Amino acid sequence: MKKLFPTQEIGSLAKPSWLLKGLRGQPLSEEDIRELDTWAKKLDIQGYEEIKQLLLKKTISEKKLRDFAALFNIKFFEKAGLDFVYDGEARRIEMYEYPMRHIEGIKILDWVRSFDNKYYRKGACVDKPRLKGFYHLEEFVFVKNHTSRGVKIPITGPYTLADWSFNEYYESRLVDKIKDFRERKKIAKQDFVFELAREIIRPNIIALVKAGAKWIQIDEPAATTHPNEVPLFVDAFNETVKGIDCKFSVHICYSDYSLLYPDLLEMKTDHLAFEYANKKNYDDLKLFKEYGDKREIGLGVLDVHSNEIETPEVVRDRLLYAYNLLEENEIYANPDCGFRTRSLDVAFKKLSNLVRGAQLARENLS
Amino acid sequence: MVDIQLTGIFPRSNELIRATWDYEKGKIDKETLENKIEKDTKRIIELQLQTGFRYITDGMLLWQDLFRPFVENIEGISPGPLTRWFNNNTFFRKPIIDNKLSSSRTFLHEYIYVDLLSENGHWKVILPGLFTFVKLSADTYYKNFKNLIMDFSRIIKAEITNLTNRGASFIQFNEPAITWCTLTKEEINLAKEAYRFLIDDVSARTCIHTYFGDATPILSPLLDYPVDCIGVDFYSTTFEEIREISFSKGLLCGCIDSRSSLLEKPSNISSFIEDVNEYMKPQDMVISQNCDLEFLPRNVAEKKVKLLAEVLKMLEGKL
Repeated sequence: MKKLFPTQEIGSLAKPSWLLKGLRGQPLSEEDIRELDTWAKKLDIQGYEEIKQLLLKKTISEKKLRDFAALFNIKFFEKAGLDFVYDGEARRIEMYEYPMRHIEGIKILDWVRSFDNKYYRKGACVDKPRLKGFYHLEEFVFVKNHTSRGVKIPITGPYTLADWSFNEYYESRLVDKIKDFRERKKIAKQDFVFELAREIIRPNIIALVKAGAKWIQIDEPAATTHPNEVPLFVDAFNETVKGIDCKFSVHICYSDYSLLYPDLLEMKTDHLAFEYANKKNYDDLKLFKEYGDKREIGLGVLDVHSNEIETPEVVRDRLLYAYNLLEENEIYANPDCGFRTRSLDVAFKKLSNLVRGAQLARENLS
Repeated sequence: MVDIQLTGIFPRSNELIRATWDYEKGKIDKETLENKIEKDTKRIIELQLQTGFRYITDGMLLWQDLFRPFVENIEGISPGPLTRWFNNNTFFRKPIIDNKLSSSRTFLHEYIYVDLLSENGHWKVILPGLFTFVKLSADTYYKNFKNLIMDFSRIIKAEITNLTNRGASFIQFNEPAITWCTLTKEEINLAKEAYRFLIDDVSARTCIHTYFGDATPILSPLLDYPVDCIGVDFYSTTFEEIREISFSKGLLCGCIDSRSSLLEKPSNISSFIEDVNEYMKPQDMVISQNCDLEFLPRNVAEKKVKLLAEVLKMLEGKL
């Protein structure tokens, strides 16, 4: 019998100060060392003393440090008790710039504002995108070799990469062919999204599956940014995963999910991981019922933008609400999104309560 | 008459971005940051003057988003959660309205470099459109479109009076929501009345700019609004679909794409403007970006501004 309410993480963890300073070759403060000591002992990480000494001497190689950070995060998720784990995206700058730096034809431009004084560096596609090398393979193999839990690999999807980038190459190719600005941008966007799907994301996924990947989560936070492009998003997803034997999930956060239907029904995904705790609105789950969508649901039961720790009882109640509402969908328990904006302490407490809450929900039904 | 203008917030320079971070980390004090903002503002003004702008803006570097000065100063509003700004990977603080709107003083001049603008001639103010403000706010107090839009209009009217007294001669209302929301006939009429009240005795030129969405369905009603000029984002609105509309006002022609780093060919833009002029026959024309240039890195935004001068040169004697 299948386990009810399997627990999973969604993606990133915060990068501790000892990691960031170590990568920059900067000296660690006493606080950094204390944090490293505390967590390494708590997580029972083998060989951490050697890493600590290399960090203190500032002689640690980037590879060794990244490997250690990945191991640290795997143990972090395991210790919290999750059924499915990954490396907390320890090797990635973040979900956009990391993949874009692995694509030929992409030029990373200067900063563009996200909000207030927060900026991000936006890529411009200036030539036909070509993969420089598989950019998730090494991290996956490392995770696979260092955990006995289920492994799910989060990767950023083609629609989001295109939507968050400038599209010079495909727009310029159409300047003399399509006179209308609006139509030109529309066609250029389609070309860009599908090129990324076929030439960048799909080869990465094939390489991961050949290496043993069983479950891949495609992150598409931009999915509903342009409501009229939802069909494009769905088609690109299907093109990406076409004919590949693997479990796929899509993760979309901070969105109006009603905009995805009915097109989402055509998406070749097994699992939908959505955010609900932030909005504290689980009524959105009725969409699954309304459209007869019986796929697995990754239920966001932890708000990743709040330090308030959800109790196991709150997690249990959210899971049971979904379970009772959607009897035919298999429900997974997860945070709304990755935890990169929360401290390790907060993330750990929340994830531990997620695991306890899922257990309480199971007991309630047994 | 053909003008070239900015339509919204201009991106900060890399130097200023770093300064804002240094300020947040306590590495520099407020005065140092303010000096850097003013220095950057002067550069933006200089760029517009060199490019041949008649109406200039200060780049709105003090505005964290289009609503923020209002959220920070009007009683009855507080800053809400970060919310996606239409179809962009950019976010704004949603205004939360939980009490009657009121303001005991005018405040917008504190967000605008009035002195720098005034010493350089004609200047332009860009404000949130009435409709956009109402539709994007979370209102738990009024729950009534008419009462909310009229109370907001009263506050904006006082600000406009204050700014025109200080020398502002072009007032633009940014109304992206007008292309996104389904409007009832009643809302269209109420917003028209609110605008009539707002600019009834305003001597400055006035403009409502529509962007991020297709303006086709709303253009005809908007042409009845009491403003001098209507703006259209031609990267969201298909020219072919609106070219037969008899354009009885000025047109702000959003034909430089602020959401693409690809530099337009000046010859393509000038040719497009000739087509627009031939078909739509606006009373006058402002050649501009489709939306705020802050969607671009600063160096690209500057190139897009300079490009306007080339377009203008190509159009000499043609319109």
